Amino acid sequence: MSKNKVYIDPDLEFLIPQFLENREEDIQRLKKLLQESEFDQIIIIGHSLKGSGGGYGFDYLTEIGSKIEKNAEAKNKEEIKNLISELKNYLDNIEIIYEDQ
Amino acid sequence: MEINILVVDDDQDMRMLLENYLKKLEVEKIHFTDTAQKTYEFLKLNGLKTEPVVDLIILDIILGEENGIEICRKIKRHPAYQEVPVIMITAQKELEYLKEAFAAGAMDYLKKPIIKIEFMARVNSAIRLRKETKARIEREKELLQLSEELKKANQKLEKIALVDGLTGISNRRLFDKTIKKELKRARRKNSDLALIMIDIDNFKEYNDTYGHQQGDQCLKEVASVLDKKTKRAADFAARYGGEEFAVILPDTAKDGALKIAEDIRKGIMNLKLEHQNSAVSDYVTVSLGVSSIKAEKDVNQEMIKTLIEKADQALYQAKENGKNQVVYKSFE
Repeated sequence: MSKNKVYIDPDLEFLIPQFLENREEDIQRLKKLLQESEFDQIIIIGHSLKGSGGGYGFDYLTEIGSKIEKNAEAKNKEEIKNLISELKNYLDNIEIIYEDQ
Repeated sequence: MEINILVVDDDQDMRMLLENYLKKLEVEKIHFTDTAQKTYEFLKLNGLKTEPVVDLIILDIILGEENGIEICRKIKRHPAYQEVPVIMITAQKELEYLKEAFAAGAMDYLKKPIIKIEFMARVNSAIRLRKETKARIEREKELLQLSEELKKANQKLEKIALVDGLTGISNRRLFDKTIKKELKRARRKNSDLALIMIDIDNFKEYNDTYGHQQGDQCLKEVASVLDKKTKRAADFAARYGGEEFAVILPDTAKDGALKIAEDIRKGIMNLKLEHQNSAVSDYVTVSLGVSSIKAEKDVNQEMIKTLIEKADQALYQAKENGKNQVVYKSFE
């Protein structure tokens, strides 16, 4: 399976395991919130993901965070469900390369 | 100079990311808060202290459901934080809020996602600005303190310049000022003013017999008698020069002045300062010349001169008459 290559600043290496763990938690919370139709909370998670993802070097997470935020505003349950599995799929197949840009 | 930073952000990943970058800068301590309430408490916004808790605040524009702009406005309203830079962090979509953020007192903003180079450069310039501000505040404080010290020193000098170093009573300079001031007042209030000139009898012989240190001691004791005998607030005693003293008595006519002069004469005798080579007594004595005036014309230098001359003539007469006595000479 082709991996999603991500280039990250070596300065951030020690932060990455925690960061990824937090994303796993995001997925669990998103699933639960979606079941409960708690869109306001989903907006906050999407917004945070959008804000922090790119900062760490995960531009894709900023993109998907933005999509989650928008779809939660529109209360688009089906699309959010797709985005959550997209997010999970992305994280499961990630390959991190620590490299100075 | 220590720089402390507060990061206000409710997202753990953002906090960790910013901390990692800030640690690379010359920063003493990095603090974090994640709600408006905790931020106000941490910054002690309810207190009256004028020293800020931190030197730079990095503030997310949206904290969950709370508004970073409102937080910024509250911080900036407190006097302690008016010169503490605030950098707002905002997502692209929130750019519309920037105008408000600047109006609320933010000095700069950063867009998410954070780019390391940009973040470091902007935070660094905020730190540099803060350091300059702190140095300026420090200089201002020093200047204020210096001018306070200067003021005190001046007051002290002023006092020294008006006090006789040996006896501690007023000196000739203050006498000159006071006689003028009191004459003018007497003229305004249409009241009397008396002047007593006092000279220690055979003081040269006293010095020759007992030495100059004892002579100084004698001057001090005479001065302390004058100080005690001029009890009313406006009464004024000064060392006029050498062994000569002067007393100004506002609101006092001939009889009152003679009474006080006599009182002084007795007071000096009662000191019982031994004086073997006095022509008049076994103890130190003084001669006193008194004059008084009812100022009916405007006060001028001539009038002051004449009053002092009259008192001096009376003093001369007292010496001629055999010392240790009071003589009066009227102004007219």
